[in-house]
Formats: sequence, structure tokens, C-alpha cells
Amino acid sequence: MPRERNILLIGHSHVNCVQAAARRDGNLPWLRVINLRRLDAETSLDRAVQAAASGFDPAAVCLCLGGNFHNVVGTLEHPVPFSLGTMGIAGDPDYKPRHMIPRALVRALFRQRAYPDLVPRLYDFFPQAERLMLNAPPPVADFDHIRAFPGIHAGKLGLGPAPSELRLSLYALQTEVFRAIAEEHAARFITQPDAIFDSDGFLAKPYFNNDPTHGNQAYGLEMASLLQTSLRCAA
Amino acid sequence: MSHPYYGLPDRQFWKKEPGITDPANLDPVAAPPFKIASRDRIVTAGSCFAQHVARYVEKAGFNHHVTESAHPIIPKKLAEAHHYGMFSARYGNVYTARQLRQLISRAYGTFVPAAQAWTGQSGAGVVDPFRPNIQPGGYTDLAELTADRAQHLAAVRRAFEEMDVFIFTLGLTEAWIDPRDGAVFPLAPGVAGGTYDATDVSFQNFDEGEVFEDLLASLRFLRMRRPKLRIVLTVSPVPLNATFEDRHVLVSNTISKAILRLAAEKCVRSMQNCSYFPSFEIVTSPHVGGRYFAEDRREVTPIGVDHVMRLFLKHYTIKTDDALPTGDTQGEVIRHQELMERAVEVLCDESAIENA
Repeated sequence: MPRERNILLIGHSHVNCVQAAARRDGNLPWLRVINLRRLDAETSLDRAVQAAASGFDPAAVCLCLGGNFHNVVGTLEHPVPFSLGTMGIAGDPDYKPRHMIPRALVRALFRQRAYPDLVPRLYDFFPQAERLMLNAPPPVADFDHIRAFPGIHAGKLGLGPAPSELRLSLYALQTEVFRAIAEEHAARFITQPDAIFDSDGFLAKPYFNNDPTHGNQAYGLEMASLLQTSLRCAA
Repeated sequence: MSHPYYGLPDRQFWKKEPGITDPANLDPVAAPPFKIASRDRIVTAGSCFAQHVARYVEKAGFNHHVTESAHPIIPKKLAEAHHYGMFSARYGNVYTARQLRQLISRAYGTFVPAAQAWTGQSGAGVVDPFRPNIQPGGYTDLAELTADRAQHLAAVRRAFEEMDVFIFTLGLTEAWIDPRDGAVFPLAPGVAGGTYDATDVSFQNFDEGEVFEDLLASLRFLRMRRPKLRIVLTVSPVPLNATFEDRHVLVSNTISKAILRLAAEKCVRSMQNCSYFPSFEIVTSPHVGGRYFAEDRREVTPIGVDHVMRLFLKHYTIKTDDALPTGDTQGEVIRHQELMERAVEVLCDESAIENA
């Protein structure tokens, strides 16, 4: 496989679906995926990443680190309901005063959770490769789906869903933070195509995984295709 | 032979102060008219030295009454970086007595300053002219600032309505004022946001009468809201960083501290249950020979702060066995937060990729 098409995708749980798609498709030899959570915990990161990438000379390294924190704080209503900046949830007929958190503070929170120290380390392992950063998928709006596959939220579903506007605002702010980090490291930031969103900006139903926050294999295939296109565009 | 000083306590005689031979023993604190118990709700405000007071009383197990906390999703260190918990509410440093008086008026809605927002330091967003450093990164826009300010002033009001003890550290006499309505800014525009234009802001150096009047009016208002309120006044030992008066900063520092000390003294004499705690005297006394100042001769060293706060805790506080209980609601929030922290890990491992 010519090196100029090779993409190494490194990340956490949001790369699983891409990895699964690559395995199922069997026709994506230009893509290698490393899930950092599945690396040998006893081995140093440097050695583990180098081992996982051995024999693969990437033209581009794409990071997709973390990305679920917007769901952690925003899938369910918090016991202390909060709003982000002046988010206009007062339009809700059941509106109750919320703890307003300034956007700059939430931005700082997302930055802490975006593995800012890991980003340059991972890019630096492959100094010749182009730098890409893939955004995380949008939140799942369908509370029936979350109820059916609650994962960590089991036992907490009584809190109900957080307001849609809050969830989208959190995702947008997280995206803004990832974009800024990408720019700081001269990486091209890749956002999802319109096709994976529903009309409100949430993850479209065909891409739901059997858990409350991740994209499924079809979503993974879309991401693989997106990465390939991105590299072609760059070339 | 008899004379007026005969039989007076040792503390009234310079040469009998144990701190002459051992600076660590310096103790100029008079018996206060009250004690502070573990459960008493303590509200602190004032110049930067007041931050030490808040931190120490909290660390010593006393009830620093914080009414404006960061939301539970914000980790403690990040909240601290955004000035939550530094004081009872997120008002930042209150340097002058006029600033305190106006903070109270703003909290109770009797004063709405004309100045609403300054442009952020980087040119993006806005900052609050009355606490320009409070929000790192500033506010997105005026609407966000206005919403946060409303939340903040409600917390200030709640702190004043619920407190048992008010500790105020007087810091400065020099201030920058909006000539339109007399609103006092803690920092000159241009220092931490806003733009300096000599026609938009005027300099004022409050004299002893003005500081006393502002301080007394503030304390009387607070006492009116909380009739059993115990008040502790201190003067910050931290010298002026800069003076706008055309003279040496050291000379300005002396007159400034003298005015603040006088105003505090007059308030103590004018009010019941109002006490002066001599933090200024401890740090600047000849006994400690300047050792409580850092290399810049301005910052108070940790050992100096320790000395001050050791004496404060010794004389003003009484440890009681009645720690505050954690309410059910608070416990639920903590449990939820712990679960969410674990969720960061778990959510990232639970994708099984099955339903494609």
C-alpha cells in the first residue's frame, strides 16, 4: 500500500466504531486504528504506540481523543440543573432557574478533558505525517434509546434527559475547544458530514450504537470515508 | 511612688513585649469582645490579604460561608482558578470602603452603575468593571455577564443575610471612579480590561472622613440585616503596589494605611461587637525586622501569614464539636458527581459496536 494514502487513527472509545468498520469491510488497508485504552497498560505509551503502528508508515496521523465529556455532564439532567452562558432554555414552559455557568469556565473544563498534553506527544511520534484531528460524534437525542441502552446512566434515568439546547450547546463548545487545540498544533480539524446529523443537530438514528453515546459501525464507515476524503483533499 | 502607668498590664509597655527577644512570640492582640465558634458562618471580604484569612479559617475547620460556589461539574482546582471560594461570593478583592458600600448597594438593588461592561483584555468578549479579573477568559457578551452578575449579586445578598461573622480587610484609599455616577472600580480601566481614557474615569484618594463614613455606613447596614453580627476589621499589611499621587509610593502607603487604621479604630469605638485585629501591626512591627515581607518587600511571606493567622485563631476562635452536617441533597449531588467522574472512564469502554 503506497504510504501517501495511509492514515493512522489514534484515540479512545470513539475510534472503536472505525476499527470495527475496518475489520468488517476488510478493504481499508490504508487505515490503522489504535485505541489507547486497549494498549498494554504495563508498557510505556511511546513503546505501545510504536508497537501498534509497526510496519505502517502513515501519511497522516489523526487524533480522536476523549470526546465524550459533553455526554458525561449533559446526557441526563444534573441534580443541580445548570445552563451554559445565556442559553435560552427559559422558553421551556417548565423552566426553573438554573445554575448559570460562564462559557469560559466550561471551555476551560473541556480543555482539561481534551488530553491537551497527550496531543503533541502523539503527533511527535510521527514527525513526517500530516496532522489531523477528528471531532467526536454529536449527542444522541432519543431518550428511549438511552433508556434501552443506559450504560453508566442505569439507575440515574429518573433524572430525565438534560434539555436539548443544553446538550447541543455543550457539544458545540467541546467542538470549539477541540478545534482550537487542533489549530494550536497545526492540525487540520475534521468535522462530521451533514449526513450523520438529524434535523436538530443530534446523531441521526441509523448511527446509534447499543450504548448511550457512541456511533456504530455504519458511523465508523462514514468516518473512515471522511478521513480518506480529507486526505485526498489535502493532496 | 505612684504614677498613671503603675500596675498596668505588661502589654501596654514596649519593653515587656516577649516579641522583642523572640519575634515568634509577638502578640499584640487584645481580648476580643466575642468568640467565633466552629459553626458560625464567617463571611470575608477585602483586599488581597483577606484571601489568607478566608483560606486559614477554612483550613482550621471553621465555617467559611461560601454562597457562590462553582457548579459541581467543575473540579475544585478549576473552580479556584476561576475565583470560586476565594471569598464568600465571587466579588474578588474589595479594596476600598466605598467599594464595599457600593457592593452592598448593588446587591440590594439600590445602586445600578452606569458602567455595565468593559471590553476584554484580549479585545474579545467583555469583563465586569467591578471585578475585572474574576472570570479568566472573560464573558462571551454583555448578556452572559449580566446573567452571571445577577447570580453573583444574589449570592452576595445571601451571604450578608446569613452570616454570623463579617471579617473585612481594609486595603486602599486610592480608587478610580466613574464620574457619571461615582461608581468605584477596583482597578483602573486598561489594567485588566477596558480602555483608559482620562475623560471617562477620575482618580480619587479618599480621606479619613470618607473612609470612616463609608465603612460605618456599610457595617451599620449589615448589622441592621443581622443584628447579632460580629465584626472583625483588619488593615492589610501589604503595601501599595502603585500610587497615582505625585509622590513616592512609600509615602502614599504610609498615609493610606494611617487613614485605614483610623477609620477602623473609629468604627470599633462606634459599634458594639466590632473588633480590630492587628494583622498590619504584626507584619510591619520592628520585632519581626521586615522578615515577614518577601524579596519584593511587599508580599507577605507564608511565615508572616502563619503568625497572623495563628494569633487570630488563638484569640478569636473557639473550637466546638459541632461540625456542619452534610445535607441529603448535597450528598446526592456528591454521589452523582462521583458517578459522572467514573463515567468518563466507563463510557469510553462500553461501546461494543453490535447493531450496525
